[in-house]
Amino acid sequence: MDYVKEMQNKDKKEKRLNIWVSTSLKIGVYVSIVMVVIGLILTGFGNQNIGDLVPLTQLPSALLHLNAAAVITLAVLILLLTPVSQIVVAMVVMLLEKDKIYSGICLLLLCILAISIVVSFV
Amino acid sequence: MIEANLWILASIGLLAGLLGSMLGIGGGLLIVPILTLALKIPIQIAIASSLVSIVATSCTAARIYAKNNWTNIRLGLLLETTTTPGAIVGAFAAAFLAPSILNAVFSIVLIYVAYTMVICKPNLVWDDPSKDNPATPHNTISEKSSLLACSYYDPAINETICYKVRHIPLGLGGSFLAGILSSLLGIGGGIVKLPTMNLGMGIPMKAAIGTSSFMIAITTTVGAVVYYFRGYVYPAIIAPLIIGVFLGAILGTELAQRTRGILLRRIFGLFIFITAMLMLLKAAHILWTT
Repeated sequence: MDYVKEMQNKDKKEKRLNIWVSTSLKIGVYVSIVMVVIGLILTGFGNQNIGDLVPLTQLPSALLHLNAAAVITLAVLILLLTPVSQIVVAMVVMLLEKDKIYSGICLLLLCILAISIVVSFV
Repeated sequence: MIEANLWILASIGLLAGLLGSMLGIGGGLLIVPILTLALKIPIQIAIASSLVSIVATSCTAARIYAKNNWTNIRLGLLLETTTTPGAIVGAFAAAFLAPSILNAVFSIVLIYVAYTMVICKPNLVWDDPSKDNPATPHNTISEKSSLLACSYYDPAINETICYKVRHIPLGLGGSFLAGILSSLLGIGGGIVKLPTMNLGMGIPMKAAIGTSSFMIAITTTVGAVVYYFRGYVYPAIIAPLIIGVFLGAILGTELAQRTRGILLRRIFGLFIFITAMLMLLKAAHILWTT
């Protein structure tokens, strides 16, 4: 009986984790899509050249000038951060559940993602 | 600066997102060949564009599958520990390989996918609890003994499917290979992940698709980040593609829950085979002229 309760409790935890991850993905994707649409509107739906991605250092000032490339750059960055956010959300949920193994795995994945950024400059 | 027609790119994205999420193969198998063959975009830029688009597709699909509880998040996270290093290796290999070699490798992968879709009998095991096969789910709660054991409700058979996970080292190895292929060719890697999880690890098909989508989002992000900082991502290409794949993925994911689409798989398989031949010819032409 205890075993059945334990399993039912585990199912509840899995569902909660799925809901949190699903919500983080939804927010990230929708924000990114809205930004891309705004960027395309700023170019008159392709009537003007968009240009290249804006470097991170120039991004804030370009955004203030409503530069289309800057808006799309930000959208791409938000999109790339969305799967990262699902790892962060999963890590937080697992820390709350005191699941040390899987919160450690989440941390390891975040480190690998950080390494991928560092090595891309090599 | 690379420019292409916004509406054509959005249409390519829509088609790739729709078929990719419906067939569980990822849109990259369509995006890369069309961008390189039809729009004459260099293959490294096509791969980078494909990877960023797949992040959008897989996030959209993963969100819906996670909401439906098809995703085994713990399993996905565990397998990603080998997939992500594979993705870094693949992205670096792609930067140093000649475009002709990349075209040739891509063609070989496409031929394999076409073979599994058209000629070969479907070897993946769908969720039928009555079948005696490696992926048969265990429907008694007492079978849920391991930490990675999971369950989900399948509306198609009106039943809650419980399953265990086995052969984890095999899954980790397959995931590493999937990571390399993903970043090397700009694909999601589902063509390796799905058979590994379904046939090798005994995970029911719908749980494998949900978990694979969750993983692909992370894997392609690693590859896309490397390409992004190396300057292969172009806003003029990526913006319409993202919109297209987003809309296609929403539609495809909804349709995937209602259909198995065997006829669609075969038609698409033929299309993939023709594309593979064109890419092989292109690779051979480059090899012969250099």
